[in-house]
Amino acid sequence: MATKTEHKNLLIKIDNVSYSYNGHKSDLVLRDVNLHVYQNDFIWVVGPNGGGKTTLIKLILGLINPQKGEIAVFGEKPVKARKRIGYMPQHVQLDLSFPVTVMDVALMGRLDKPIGIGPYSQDDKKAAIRALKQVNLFEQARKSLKELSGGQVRRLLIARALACEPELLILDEPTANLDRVVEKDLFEIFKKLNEHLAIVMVSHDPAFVSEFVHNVVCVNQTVAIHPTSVMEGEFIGELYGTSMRVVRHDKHEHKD
Amino acid sequence: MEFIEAIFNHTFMLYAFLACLLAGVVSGVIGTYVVTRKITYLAGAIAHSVLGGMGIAHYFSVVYELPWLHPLYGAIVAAVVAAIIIALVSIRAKEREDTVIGAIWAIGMAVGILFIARTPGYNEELMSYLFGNILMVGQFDLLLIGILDAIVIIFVFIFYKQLQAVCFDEEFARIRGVRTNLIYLLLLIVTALTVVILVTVVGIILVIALLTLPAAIAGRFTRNLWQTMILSSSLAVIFSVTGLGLSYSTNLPSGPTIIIVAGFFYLLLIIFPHFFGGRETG
Repeated sequence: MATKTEHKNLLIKIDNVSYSYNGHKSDLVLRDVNLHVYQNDFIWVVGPNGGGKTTLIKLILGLINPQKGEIAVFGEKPVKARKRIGYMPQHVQLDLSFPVTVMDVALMGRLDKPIGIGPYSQDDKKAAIRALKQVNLFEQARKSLKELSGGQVRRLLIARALACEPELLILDEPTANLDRVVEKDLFEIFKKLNEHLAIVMVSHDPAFVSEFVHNVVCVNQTVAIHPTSVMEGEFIGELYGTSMRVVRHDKHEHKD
Repeated sequence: MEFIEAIFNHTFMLYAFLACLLAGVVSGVIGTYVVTRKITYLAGAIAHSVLGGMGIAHYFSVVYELPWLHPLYGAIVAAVVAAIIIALVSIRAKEREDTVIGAIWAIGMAVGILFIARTPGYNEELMSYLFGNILMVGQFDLLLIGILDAIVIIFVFIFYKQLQAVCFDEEFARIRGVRTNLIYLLLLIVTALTVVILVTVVGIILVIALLTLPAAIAGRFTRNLWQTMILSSSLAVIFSVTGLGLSYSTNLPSGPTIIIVAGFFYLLLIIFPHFFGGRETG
């Protein structure tokens, strides 16, 4: 696989990145992180709650800047590149009683101007409809957000992420608090999307491992760093299943 | 019916009726954002800062003999300044937002009362802004309310999709490239203008109720933002006209009567949600 990946485009390049919320070196959330994500990758980011997974996502999206190291997305600064990323936040961040329709939410993925004037265009509406169809939610387009089930809300947030026709999908805890059946349906959707999209998925629940996840990246700042330098890593297929591939996954090192 | 006759026979009642219409419309539109974005206390602070602006304007108007300096000009300046301060704090130091809201709330009132105390003469007019006196709305107030109404409605019409996205999921909107901080700042400024309009109708202390109750009721029956705005604007107009009519026939103060009408329907809905067929989660 290593030779094959050499021809793939490098989408995310994280080199020696450290980050702390208060700027103090002693309070690093992430330390010397290296991560490369290539075209068509399916990266699964695991780690305990508070381990720095969401911080990593925020860095990739340019919502925060690293104190040390460099991040490039599509070869550009994250702030410039993030419009080409489809992002699905944790559903707990959202007010699910907010008065919006399914179509309204999908259309938010079409925003692309700093101060756009007037309503969404016909192209925007077509793209939003395509995105809703991709997650089998088009029939619910006129429904209100508060009428949706938990699984439907996740599919809607995926549709919103897809509406901008992204080259990379970042999913933050997409299956949290869902039952296994609904979770499996979502993974079928991810599998299909992964045919033409790179996916970076965050999950604190390592129980469910799919055969199509390419790499597992473990993030945990409390035990310092898990440097997971990507493609040149060793595959530990036996650990999680035959077609499961795990990147070099160092033991926890206490550096304090 | 006496009330309807009065609207046609007395100019002050006609003005009061028109003020209810204009105030109701923006109260429903901006109230929808205030409720869904959960910035009720922020709007409360802006409302109370208005007294400071009115007090200062009135003081200078009397002491330096500037008859054009209407208290409402002071109200607009104070409300917009308060909105900008709160927006900047919210953007730069989110953790202090709560404290700043409280500070502006109290400081605005304190400044207003001190300036009123130092203004020579009898200042009952200004104190009436605390609880509102819609019967005092004149041609000038009506014109000013109309202009502010137009600004607010045009703004919402132009930026509907950005406002919706920023209120629903600010982080996502920012990732999509929307200048969310600017949109939020502008939203607070139009909220400030709306507060000034409502102060003329129900007064500083009662603004919050007229801003939030109709929107909170409407949110239970609607499926998207513009439906919520239309329903809550209609409710705000109905509540304020009904309150005005009741206050006219019972000779009670208009502001509190309007709020009692709105509050009555809100509590009815909270206590008997199934009777109205509203959605539980609204």
